[in-house]
Amino acid sequence: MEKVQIAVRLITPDPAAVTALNTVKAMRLQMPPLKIHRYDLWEFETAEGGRKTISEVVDHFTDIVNPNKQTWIFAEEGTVLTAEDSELQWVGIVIRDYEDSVSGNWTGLLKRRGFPVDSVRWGVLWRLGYLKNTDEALARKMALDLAVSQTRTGGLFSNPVSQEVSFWI
Amino acid sequence: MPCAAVIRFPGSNCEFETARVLRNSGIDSRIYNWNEIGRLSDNKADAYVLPGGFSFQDRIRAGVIASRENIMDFVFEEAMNGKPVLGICNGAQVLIESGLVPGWKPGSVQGALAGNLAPGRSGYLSRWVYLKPGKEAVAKCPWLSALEGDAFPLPIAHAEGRFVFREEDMDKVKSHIGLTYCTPDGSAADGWPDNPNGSVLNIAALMNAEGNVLAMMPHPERSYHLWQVPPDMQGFWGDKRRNSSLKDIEEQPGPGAIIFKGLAKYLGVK
Repeated sequence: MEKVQIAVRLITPDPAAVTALNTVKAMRLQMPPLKIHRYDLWEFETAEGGRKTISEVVDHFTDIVNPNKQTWIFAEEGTVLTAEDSELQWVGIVIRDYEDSVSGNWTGLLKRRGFPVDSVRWGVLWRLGYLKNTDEALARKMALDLAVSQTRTGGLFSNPVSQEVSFWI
Repeated sequence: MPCAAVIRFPGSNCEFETARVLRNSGIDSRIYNWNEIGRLSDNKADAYVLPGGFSFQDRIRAGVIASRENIMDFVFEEAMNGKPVLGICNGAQVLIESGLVPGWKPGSVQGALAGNLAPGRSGYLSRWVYLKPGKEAVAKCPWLSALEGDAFPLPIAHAEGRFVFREEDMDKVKSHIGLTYCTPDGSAADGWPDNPNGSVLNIAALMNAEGNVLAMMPHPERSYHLWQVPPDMQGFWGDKRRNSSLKDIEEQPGPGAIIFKGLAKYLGVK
């Protein structure tokens, strides 16, 4: 069993990321992130073939990656993703629904089509870019505060009642 | 004449029909843009409606950006003062992200409208469903005060309409139920397709403890007229549509009218 993650992003600037950055600015935080990127994060557990299998899946289904408007890479936690400014301190947070039909339906679909994939989990990866000299632990704490909407004015990226948050280092 | 304010965010798309059905119910209505907080606070309304649509293109998650807008501070304050507030579909998503419903601690996010859960499908769903009021809804909620307890149909159109709460809140939420999904004969829905999105406790609409704020996923403004009822619908409303003359079909109210009539009655419209 091999776990393979891919990160999918729009070729053009992502409107959701632009709106997120503007909303964060309006929250008047002491140290807001300077840049925000958004990716669809797909995690596959493959019975065999690993990356080769997932490349075939991506080539086959334009619902996962629409090549006319999106680009993708294999995403290993901790790597700097393409198009990210290396002058910033990046923190990745992954938002996933506790229950989502997207993951279950894709798992069923890929199995029915004969791909050696045991499970699919979909989520959204937000990459928050803080000033380079920001303490890493502090950056992670600030990202986590932003990640969870506890109140109408605090937090943004997830609803804690229906979604879980994890770090994607 | 009482007046209702319909708040339009970028991406709202049901504001005109919502304003029109309010006027048809005897309530003056005006549409305010999300950035017209000054104009709105100068002309306080008797009730507020957040219409359906895709505010801010559902970016990040449905309703969350609109819930952060300054105009929601004003709506929040008016809701706390007891003014009736209705969120329809995307408006419901804004209300739940604002912490106005269920509102145990107003301003805190204590519920969610998560993505639809249905067997073998995901995403947007548009269809008619049957609904009936919760136990305390008719007595507490102005918008539901004209309902009589029978099942009635309304259309839904959403991708994120599944009411979800924390396990420890599940008992508490029962007294906040405004509407539940049911079968055409009024029995509790037993999963898909009567419960179209997997909402816990079959919840289709949720109110705050006082009952003045209602977040509902179905669209009453899209079923205000009898001609909007599909001719092949089962039950009372389908029969009524099929057995009516063309003139009556054009002129008679549909099932959604009762939501706005309830508000009109509450506001003293004769």
